[in-house]
Amino acid sequence: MIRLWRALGSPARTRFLIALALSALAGASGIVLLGLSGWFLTAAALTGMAGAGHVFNHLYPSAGVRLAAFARVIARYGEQLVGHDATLSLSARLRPAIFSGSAHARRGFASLPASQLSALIDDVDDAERGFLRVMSPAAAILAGLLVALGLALAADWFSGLLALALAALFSLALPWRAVRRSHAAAEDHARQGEAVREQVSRLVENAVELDIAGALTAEAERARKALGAHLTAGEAIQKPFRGLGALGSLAGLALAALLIWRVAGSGSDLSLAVGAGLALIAAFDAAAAMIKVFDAAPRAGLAAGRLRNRLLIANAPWDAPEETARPLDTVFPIRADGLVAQASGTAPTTPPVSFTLAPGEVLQLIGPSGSGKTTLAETVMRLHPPAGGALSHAGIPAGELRIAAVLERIALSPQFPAFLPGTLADQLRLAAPGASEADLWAAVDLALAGPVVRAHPDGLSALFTESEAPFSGGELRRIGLARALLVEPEVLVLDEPFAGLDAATQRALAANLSDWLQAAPRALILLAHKPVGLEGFEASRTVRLA
Amino acid sequence: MASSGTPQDKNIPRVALRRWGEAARGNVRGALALQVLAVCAWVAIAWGLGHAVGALAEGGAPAAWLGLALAGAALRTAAVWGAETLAARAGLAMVGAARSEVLGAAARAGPAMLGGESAGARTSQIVDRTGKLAAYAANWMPGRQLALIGPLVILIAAATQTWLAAILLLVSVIVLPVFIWLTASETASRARAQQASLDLLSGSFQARAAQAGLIRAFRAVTRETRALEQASESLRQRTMAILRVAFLSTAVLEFFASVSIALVAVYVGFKLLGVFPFETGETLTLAEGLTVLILAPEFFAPIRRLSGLHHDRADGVAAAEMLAPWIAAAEHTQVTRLPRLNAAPVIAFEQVTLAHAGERAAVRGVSFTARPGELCGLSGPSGSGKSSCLLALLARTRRIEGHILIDSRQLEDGESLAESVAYVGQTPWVVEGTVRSNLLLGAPAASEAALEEAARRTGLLDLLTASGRSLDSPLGRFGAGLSGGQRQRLALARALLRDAPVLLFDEPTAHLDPEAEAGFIAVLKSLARGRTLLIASHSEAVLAACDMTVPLGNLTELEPA
Repeated sequence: MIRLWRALGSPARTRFLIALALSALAGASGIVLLGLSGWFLTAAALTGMAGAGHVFNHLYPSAGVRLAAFARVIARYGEQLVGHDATLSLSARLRPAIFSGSAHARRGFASLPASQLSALIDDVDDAERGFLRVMSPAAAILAGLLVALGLALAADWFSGLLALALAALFSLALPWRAVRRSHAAAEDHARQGEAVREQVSRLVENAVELDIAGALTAEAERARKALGAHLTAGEAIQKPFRGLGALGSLAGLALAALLIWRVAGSGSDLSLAVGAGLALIAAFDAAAAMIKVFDAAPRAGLAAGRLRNRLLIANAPWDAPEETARPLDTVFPIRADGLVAQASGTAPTTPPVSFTLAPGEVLQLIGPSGSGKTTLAETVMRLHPPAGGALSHAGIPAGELRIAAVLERIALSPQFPAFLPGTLADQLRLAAPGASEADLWAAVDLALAGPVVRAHPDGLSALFTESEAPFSGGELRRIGLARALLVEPEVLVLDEPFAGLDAATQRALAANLSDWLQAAPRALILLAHKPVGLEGFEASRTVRLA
Repeated sequence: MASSGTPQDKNIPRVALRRWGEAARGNVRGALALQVLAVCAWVAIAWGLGHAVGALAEGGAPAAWLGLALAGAALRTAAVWGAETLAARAGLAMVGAARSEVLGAAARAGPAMLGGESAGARTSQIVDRTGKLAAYAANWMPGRQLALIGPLVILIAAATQTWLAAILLLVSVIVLPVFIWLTASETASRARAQQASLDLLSGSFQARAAQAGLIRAFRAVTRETRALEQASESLRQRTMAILRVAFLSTAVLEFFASVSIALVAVYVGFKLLGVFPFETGETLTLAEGLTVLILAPEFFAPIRRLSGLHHDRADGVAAAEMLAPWIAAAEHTQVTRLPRLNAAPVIAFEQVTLAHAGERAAVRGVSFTARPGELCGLSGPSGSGKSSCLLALLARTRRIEGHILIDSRQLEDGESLAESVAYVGQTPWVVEGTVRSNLLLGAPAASEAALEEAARRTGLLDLLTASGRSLDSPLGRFGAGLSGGQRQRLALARALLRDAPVLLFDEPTAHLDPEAEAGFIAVLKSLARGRTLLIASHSEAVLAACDMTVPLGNLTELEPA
């Protein structure tokens, strides 16, 4: 956790330290309040009984009691405020850094799978809250225990040492063991949980079919039973914690009784013993919260470790270093010589392909889905390192060029484009932040998306949310094409651009693309499952992937 | 149907919460009783320790008193352990009761169970929302009562020792709720106002992280990082404004808890010294004073714990608000399955407006006629009501206006064509077993010849043979081992085997690649003869293959002024 914090440049260092100090102060003053009160009462009674009540200096102890009370309140409030403020500062540093780190090293164009995304979000949450869940409460508990143990040692060394041992047992060893058992149970439980959730989700998705077949009631009952069994099995997660806090309190009380008992036997300072006894009771009571600390600590630590690994990546490993990278004026000619593409280190590889692409040419990559067309095109864009063979742009070997320089000149229009939450104009300006409204319309019209955008009541302001897009699948593909056109690339990569279009629209799109191709030194790469044979739009080159 | 906002509607979640809580009642009572016992044990501890010290100060023997304190401590430990066990059981009981009801409602509501929500959202409501009720039953239900009983027990015990100290405690607890209410209500209103923007922000990190590949490919990483930095910084400032007030309520609670302990200590101390300036009408011993001092923190403990339980309460209430109206609506579902039609019908929608179980409109003023032998496509963006039109034939959406005619006979509310329908969705239902057993799911009495004919005509047999399988190949849970194309062919063959005059398709090619989609469409067209086919689809390829398409527009355009 601390290493992640350092890797981020130690944000909000002063505030974190202040929050930690305040937390310890709050924890200590709560214990001091009770200890001092106990001492004061006993001392007062003893003096009163001796008839010396008016000689006893009651001013300092009573002021101390009130001071401890106020200190606890103020320190606690301050600790919460400063701690949260520092945590939010950490979050403001962490999130952009994580995003930037993972974006630079991301392979390919596709979005992060939902499971990986939710794991990342959980990691960020866990790591950010580490301070508030682990360090801050631990500081309060330990400071309180320290005060109580100090008093106990001062009152009676034997009880004090015993208290030290029991404190270690109840605030460290036992919670640690319980958490370990609980986490093991929780892992098993989560695995079963996925299966049960899948069962419910399939029930919901297939409700129509099951209803028509008359099987819905029986399936719902099966899901209920599976959920019930899973729920009962969850008991094992809580069980290790049960009664642990109460047991700790019992230890505190027994220590207090022992302390008073031994003082009775030895005739030493009774007031101090009572004060120490009350402090021990309160401190052991508070130590029950160590369970939560131990519960949160490993999760926060692991999350922080994983995030730190993401931070360390500033550049894609296959990118050329900025200092030695060669400048690029044009990508032409693009030459692949036995080029092999691979989506990730463990994915299957494509067969080696060779081609040259010059201005005015159309290259078709043909193959069934899953044959690696997209990966190959992304490799040409430098979004993957080549897994074999040679690739060069304008005669410069791929490894000597900045990825960004290539991306400036090659753009991709995917088969299923992804969008960020925001307006349609935001989507388009992702590719060209400075584009004017006229530029946007020109690209939208070129991509044949003009009519549907004009038909939408909000036009360019149509809103994309996280879950819903304001246009249908085929329309979105053309908007994705408009976005790619706005990059004003030299090479445009089109993934299944004609799939699902009627013949008239296919011809219109082909005509637009062929105009675009001739307007400047440009080239096209088409990805399709079978060769596209449109009049006036003949492929200069065709590469087949088996 | 009652419109939302009537008192009866508002009561539905409350009533549901009480109903589910009923299942946990016994365990909650037991847990509460044990928690009260633990408080009583604390009185014994305070009493024992206080009097032990008192006896020592006067030169007496403390052994018996210390024994009382230790016995109290042992009793308290046992009681707390028992209370935790019973509370956990209460949680399980309440979750179980709620899930039974929810799944019962799901079975009754049938396909209407989505009610306009996505399948993922409904699943998470059934599993996760009900799960939150465990803490409601285990913590909140006993906790809110203990917050009243616990302090009362301590107060009575304290009053037997010194009435003035008891009054100090009482006064501080009486003014407490006023302060907490003041700060909490202020916070709640501000928090609500800003919650929306917070969600948007944490969503913006999520969306950017998910689309990092896209952003990078458009060389926008630096730009988007900067946008994220600014958003996070403004989030910090806005959140701190809320927290400054929110933590005040905790601080107020701490203040009274600490200060009343301090006041009790100072009063008792001065009294024992004989320097207390006013006549209080009581004489105090050390034993009494210490007993009260030890009691004082326990006086506030249940109240402090309660303030931490408001989350549990809010989660439970939110679950009930989400689920109860849905369950209530499902109670009213009455579906009559019309006898099987003998021949493919003409299905006509005339100015039909449909709504989900709630108040959300699904489609407005839709008209079309689907004839036997033709493919009728329903197109439009997601959420435009394509699926709702299909469900209307199964009495699973509410008709508000217009008529649905089956061979010119009106389909009345609550009447379902289920007996005459076969259905193919995005991902068909596949059970553990063989391909054959899955085919027979929709038509258990089908003959061997019919089964093979269905498998052959839909191309399933060819696909199976090509991958070295047969009709008797085993299938895993949820159809593991089949490709998307094979799975959809299986669904098609099953629909065919059911020999239904009406075939309904909902996004049948959503998970297929273009090639598998083309094959599917070819088979689809061959099935149209002698059947009425309705296909809700996004896919331009599917719609291009249809004989007619019905565009379902954006609802906002059709909203009446």
